[in-house]
Order: sequence, then structure tokens, then C-alpha cells
Amino acid sequence: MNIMLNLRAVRGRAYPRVIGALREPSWMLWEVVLPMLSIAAFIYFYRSLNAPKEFEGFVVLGGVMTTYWLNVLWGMASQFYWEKETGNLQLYLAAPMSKMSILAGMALGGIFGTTVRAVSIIFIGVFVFEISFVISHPFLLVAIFMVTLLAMYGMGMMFASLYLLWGREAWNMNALFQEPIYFITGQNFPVKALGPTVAMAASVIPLTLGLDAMRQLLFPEAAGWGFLDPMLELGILCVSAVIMLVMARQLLAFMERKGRETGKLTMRWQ
Amino acid sequence: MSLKSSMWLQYQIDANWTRPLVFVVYNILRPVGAALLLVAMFYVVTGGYMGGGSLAYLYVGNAFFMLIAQTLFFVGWVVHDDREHYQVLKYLYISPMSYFKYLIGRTAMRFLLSGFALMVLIVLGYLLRIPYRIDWLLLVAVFLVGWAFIVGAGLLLSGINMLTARHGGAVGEALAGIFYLLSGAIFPLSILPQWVRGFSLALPSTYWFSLVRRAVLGAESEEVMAQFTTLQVVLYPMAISMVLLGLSYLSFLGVDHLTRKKGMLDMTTTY
Repeated sequence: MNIMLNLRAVRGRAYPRVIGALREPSWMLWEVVLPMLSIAAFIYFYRSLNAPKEFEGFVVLGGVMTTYWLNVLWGMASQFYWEKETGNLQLYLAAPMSKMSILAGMALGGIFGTTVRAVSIIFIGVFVFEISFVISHPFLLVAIFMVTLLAMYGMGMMFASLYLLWGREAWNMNALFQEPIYFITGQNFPVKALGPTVAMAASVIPLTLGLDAMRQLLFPEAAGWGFLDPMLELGILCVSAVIMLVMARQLLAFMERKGRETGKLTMRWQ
Repeated sequence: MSLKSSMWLQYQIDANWTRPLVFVVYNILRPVGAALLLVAMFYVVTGGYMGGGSLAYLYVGNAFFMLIAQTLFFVGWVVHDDREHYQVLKYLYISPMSYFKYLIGRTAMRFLLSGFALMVLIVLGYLLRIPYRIDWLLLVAVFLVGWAFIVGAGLLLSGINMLTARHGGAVGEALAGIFYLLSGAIFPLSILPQWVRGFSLALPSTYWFSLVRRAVLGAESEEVMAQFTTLQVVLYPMAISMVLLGLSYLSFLGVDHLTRKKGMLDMTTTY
């Protein structure tokens, strides 16, 4: 494997996303304002129920992590589907680098743009809604955040491979992975409330454990709502990240071969 | 005829990627997921108590909000989808029909399909012991007024999207988000800061949600909106909807002229 070639491919694919995020301020406006509307609605909803203040913090944290989840869905998982629709996919397949480098570039570029949005949401949460975060274990918090992202984007790569041959199913499947996933991962509430069986099943999605661990670390007064110990959750997330990335690689190779055999890689408007 | 065909087309685009049963499940899973999210938030805060006026308020408001969210989000995309994705806008324009009517047809079908999901949510509400006291006449008014204002807002958006390269979905989602936040859909208006409430009372959706609660729960429990009579909450959004429909038609005429003049009917930006 030519490492330099693949690193150049990673940089090349990340570049338009980073530049695009900075060059189109109107995108940034929409992407910050849109999640804030629903975040604000959920915060006022909790206020109407006289919920403890930390629950409002759960909403902001959920909103931050949801922006990454949405980027995983629409910026990673469905990306090969869009590339196929716009006619770029065959160019990627004809180029000599690994397709995983393309996905890694997408992920890095996507994380950059999404982080700008996430920071804006935290900023608004702290200064407009007066949410207080207590950072008692900064290294553990950063480690959990990073590993959660790694596992989530690994999952996105896996979906991207699966969606390679799909038409509108890909778009619809992504749409389906929003509200129902927000519910089972405990986007705005402690996942423990769903009971151990559902919470355990939901842990297949890295967002669940990542959110749960970060909730415990950022809102110690609500630690009783934690599903598992944050250290254990970090361990599970590490294993999950490795499994996702390995499976993504295997699936990508399999689906690409399948696509070449069936001639579906260049089919548009299915 | 163009209305009927565009409704049929919308159904095909929405549903023919899979088997009918899968589509039915798909169509209801998102709204059900959104409803369960709110119910779970309520459950956690109340310590497991599932009842009372607050639960009924949020559940019914959220269920009917799905009509707004799903329709407006879709309408935002339709022009861009026709023009950039499927690249058929120019063919639709030269066919013997009105593109405006075509948009009404596609929006109407999306509204209908969202209505099925709403029915499922209402039925699920019985499991949560939501105390329904349905006034069927008012419920008919809910759908008529709702359809008029959602389609009016949607068509206005579509006109704007004829001239833009992207943001289609975002604009629709933003509008739906504003309705969700400011209309007292899931929490009373009194929770909002005082300076926002004036804006809330200018939105047709605020009156529409009040109408929904009167039609489905038998009374209005929201203090601010309880000051209005039922006739007022029917007439106000109806009047706004008529204005929106008129405005959307006028703006469509203007945008249609500009789009042809600027040669944007077959614009593809690969966004």
C-alpha cells in the first residue's frame, strides 16, 4: 500500500469539506440555527415540567452529539449514494488509492465542520440558556468524546459501504435513523430510563454509551442516572470503534466487488 | 388532471423504493420515534408518572406537529429535487400543466401520507391513556385549516427555492422548527420569555395548535390561548392561510418569470 498516496487522498477529500465549511457562511448559519430551534424547544419543555437544571444540560449535550450523528448519516453514510447520483463515484473507483482513504477524508473534513457547529451550540447553551458544565475528569471526557466519534464515523463508513449499491433506500434509511435513534440512544434523557435490556441493545450505536458517559462526567449531580461506569463505557466504545472500522473495510471491498459484477455502481435515479 | 397525476407521482416517489408494508412501517416509525422521545423525557422528569394534562398536551401537540414537520421539510426539497437531482423541471415546465398546481398536488399527497402517521399516533395515545374528547366537526376544521396554512407556507418556500441553489430542506426545517418552538406545540406559551410571546401570537400555527387541543382534548388548557374563542382560533389561521396561498401564488408568478429570464430552469449546481 502506498501510504503517501493514501494520505494525499485523505487530505484531498477533507479539503473541500473544510474549505466549504468556511467559504459558505450561510451553511454555518443554517446548521447552527436549525438544531438550536429544537434544542430550545426541548429546554423549554423541561422547564415547563420543572425538571432539574441538569436536564437542560442533557438537551444541549444531546444536541451537540446529534450534530455529529447527523454528519455521520448525511455526510458519511449516504455520501457514496450522492457521489453515484452526481456521477463522481466512478472517478473515485477508477483512482488508485484505497476507498477507505476517501471515507477517512470525508470523516475528518466532516468532523471539522461539525465541531464548529457543536462549539456554537455549547456557546449558546452556556450563555443563552445558562447551562453549567462541570468538567471534573477532563482527560477521560476528551478520551470518551474522541473514541465515540471514532466509533460513530466508523459506523458511518460501514453504512457508506452498505449504501453503495442502494438508490432511494439509502436516503430513506438515513431518515429513519433520526428520531427513532434519538429515542433509543437517550438523546435528551438518561438512557437508563429505558431499562437495562433496551439500553444494552441501544449500546450497539456508539452514541448511546458516549452520551451516557459524557452526561455522567459533565453533570455529576445526575451521576445516579448513569447506565454503566464511564471507564467501562470507554472500553466498550474502543472495542466498538475497532469492530466498526474493520467491518467497514470488509464491507466496502465486498460491496464494491458486488457492484462491479452487477453493474450497479453507475446506476442513477433508482 | 395535473393535480391527480402529481399526487400519484408523489406517492410513487415516496413509496415505490420498497414493498408497501415496509413503506407503511417506514412512514410511521419516524413520528412514533419523535413521540416516544418526548414521552420518555416526560417519564424521567415525573419519576414514572404517566398521566395528567401535561402529557396529553405534549402528546397531542407533538402528534399534530408531525403534519407540519413532514410536509414542510419535504416541500423544501421538491423544487431542487426536480431541477437538480432528477433534472426533470424543464420537462415538467414544457408539459401541458401548471407547475404551481403540480406543487399543490405533491404537497397534498405528502400531507395525506403524514396524516396516516398521525392516525397511528392517535391510536397509540390510547395506550398512554390520553383522555381524548374528540369533537369531529372541529377535527375537520383542524385538517382543513392545517392543510391550507401548511401548503400555503410550503408553496411560498417552493417559490423561493426556484431561485436558490440549496438550503431547500433547511428552509422548510427552519420554518417547521419555528412553529415547534414558538407555537406552544409541546409546552405552554407562558414558559417562553415575555418578548417572544407577541411573536408567537402572530403565528397561525399557535392558533392551529389551540384548535387541535380543543378538537382532540375537548378544551384548551393553555392559559394564553384559552382567552380566545374557538371561532377566533378557526378564523385567524384560516385568514392567514388565505393570505399565504395568495402570496405564494403571486410570488410564484414573479419567481417563474425571473427563473425563465435568468435561464435557471435547468440549473444544476451539484450541491
